[in-house]
Amino acid sequence: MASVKLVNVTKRYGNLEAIKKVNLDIKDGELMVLLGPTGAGKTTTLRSVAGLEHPEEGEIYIGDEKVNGLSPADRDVAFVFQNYSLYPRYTVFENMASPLKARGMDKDRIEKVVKRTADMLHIAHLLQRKPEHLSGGEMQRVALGRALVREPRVFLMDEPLTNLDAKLREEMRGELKRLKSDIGATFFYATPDQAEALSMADRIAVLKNGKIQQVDTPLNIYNHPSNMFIADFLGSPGMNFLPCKIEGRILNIGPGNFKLPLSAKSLKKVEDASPAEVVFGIRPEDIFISKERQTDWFPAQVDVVELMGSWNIVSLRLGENYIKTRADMDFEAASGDKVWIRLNEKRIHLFDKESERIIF
Amino acid sequence: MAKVVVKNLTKKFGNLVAVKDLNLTVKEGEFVVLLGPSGCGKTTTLRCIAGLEHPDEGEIYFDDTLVNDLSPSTRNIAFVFQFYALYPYLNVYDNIAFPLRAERIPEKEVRERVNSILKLLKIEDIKDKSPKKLTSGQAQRVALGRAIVRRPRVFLLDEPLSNLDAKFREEMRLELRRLQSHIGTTTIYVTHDQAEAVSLADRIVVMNLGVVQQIGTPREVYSYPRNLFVANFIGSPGMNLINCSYQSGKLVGENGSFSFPIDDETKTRIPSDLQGKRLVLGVRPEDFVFTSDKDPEGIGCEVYIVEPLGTENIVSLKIGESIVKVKTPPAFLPQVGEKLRIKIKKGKLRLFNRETEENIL
Repeated sequence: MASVKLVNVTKRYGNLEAIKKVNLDIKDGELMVLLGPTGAGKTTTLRSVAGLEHPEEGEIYIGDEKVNGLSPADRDVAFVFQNYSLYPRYTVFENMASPLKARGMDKDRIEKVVKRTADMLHIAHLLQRKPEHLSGGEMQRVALGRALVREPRVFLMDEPLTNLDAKLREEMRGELKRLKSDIGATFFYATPDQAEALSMADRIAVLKNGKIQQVDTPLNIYNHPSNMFIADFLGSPGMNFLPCKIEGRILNIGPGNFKLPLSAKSLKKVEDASPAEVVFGIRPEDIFISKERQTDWFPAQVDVVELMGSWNIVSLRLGENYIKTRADMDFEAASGDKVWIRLNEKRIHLFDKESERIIF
Repeated sequence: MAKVVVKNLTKKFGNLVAVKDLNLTVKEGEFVVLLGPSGCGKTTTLRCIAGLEHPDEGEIYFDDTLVNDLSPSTRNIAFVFQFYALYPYLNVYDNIAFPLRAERIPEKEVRERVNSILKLLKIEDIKDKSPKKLTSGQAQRVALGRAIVRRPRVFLLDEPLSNLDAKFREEMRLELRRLQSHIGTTTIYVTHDQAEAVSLADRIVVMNLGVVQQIGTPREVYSYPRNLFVANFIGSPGMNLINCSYQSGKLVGENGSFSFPIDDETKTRIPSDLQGKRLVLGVRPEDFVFTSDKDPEGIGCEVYIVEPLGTENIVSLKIGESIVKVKTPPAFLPQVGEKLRIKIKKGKLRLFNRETEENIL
């Protein structure tokens, strides 16, 4: 187990800067998720830590040791990929034992370590099978097991659950999180899936176009996204944005759809940022919806209702604009129905339209 | 638009029975989703309806016409695999007009129909753009427009959203839903994604291993799954399923590891012959509530995993040897190892026969 530190790491492919001055501190025993869309630079970052890529600039430390010049084998890290490459002719046991054999560990010890790890991953009953007789989820667990038996200083995982079907992904997400807390290892985990990131991470680093956007705990990132990209990327559906004008102490949202007063604190933040134009933001779950008229609520029109199982996504029309809100499973409405909505004023956000940065 | 009737459809590939005795009536204008894991026979069913496969047994009717022997091109269907391949050298307008021009429809009508599609999809302002200049969301919409401009009698869609990333999938799902309420073409849609099925369908056909498991509205299959497969497949996470037996008014876990008291109202609905039978208790993650130590209906549990998701949390709890997943509001974030008590919401308990896997209650 060890900490990982990236200092001003830049990696170029020809003219393309895949990652730009990435700074990141992963604590010993922490599960850090690197979250971002395809092409953000997640894999490049992970491969740089593994020693599979050589950054042009910056330093990488594992523990206190600078590893820039070290070969992958000397870094003592385990890399688990999206495509789990198992040896097809080996049994599950042999697959998992192979890194230990290579290290010259004695037979009894190998057997002990493999069995213990297989128990932890619920694959003990599969040890004598060959990979061709395993399901995708089982293969993924074996690949994970092979990484675990090595007890490396750091686990690097590049979208390990992406190829699994939704059910299994959900299940493995929880299992991995539990595993991590049981063995207390350091994980650096890349994924494009925001739900995976929120549910598993101790902290999330959001990456876009090779640049770190924000590093914080899942709840802080969700509740206080530092810019509009993050506000939209996290959440399902993401944050709603509406055009907005500031008129004295009043937010005119829409404009013309509704008006909200600004608190003294919020007003101060707006004055400090002094944006030319602003965008209003609110999460779907912070909009309350009612089919009956309520005093002080704003009228809106139902566009589409999408059942999600235990809840609904309700898309609403507000004049020219559309917003999404969440409603209970029992909520039923037809396109065009009139409804009333209220915003949770404690959870509204304002962004600078130009820089897309958060104001509050 | 047409009604589609499938009667006793069976399709084999060699020894493998891909679809077994499937019966389905899709009403005119209805949106039906065939849902199931890979290999369940959903795509084979769709391809039989399209005329791309020939059933070994059974009949397929469009309205009252038997179409078994009609070629795909004479069935007047639109079969869509995925939404994104646009012709790169044609602009948005010409991309959408392409299928109409291929059918030699007069240019005046082409213009009217393309314009109405552009308006419906809110892409009028990009009609002169080249596909290369579009955002992926816009490109999806154009592709959707091109697929629907032909006004086929039946729309057959085979996992059209599966290659999109999560954000666009959500957006396109919404567009499809909106579109359906405007144009109302009979649609049969294949997916393995239960969220897509639940949000899009008027009715869902849940399939597994070539056999229909249940046909119903999204709310029916969600709230009243007919068997264990449907209960677990639908929902995210699926229904919690715990082995148990019924003993003197209580549901008792394997080796007595837990004992769930049942409220009086539910007791009256439990069939009398359940005593001692091997059962499975089913409870949706949102149908557990946390309760106090004094509540006689509550049982003890220990927090095993906590997964925050922003809008809600999924908390895995250990009850005896079983693990159940419970949804909690964002502010309720217990610690791993914490001891809590839960009970089942009134009317939300489901029971299944462990042998037949069929729903009992």
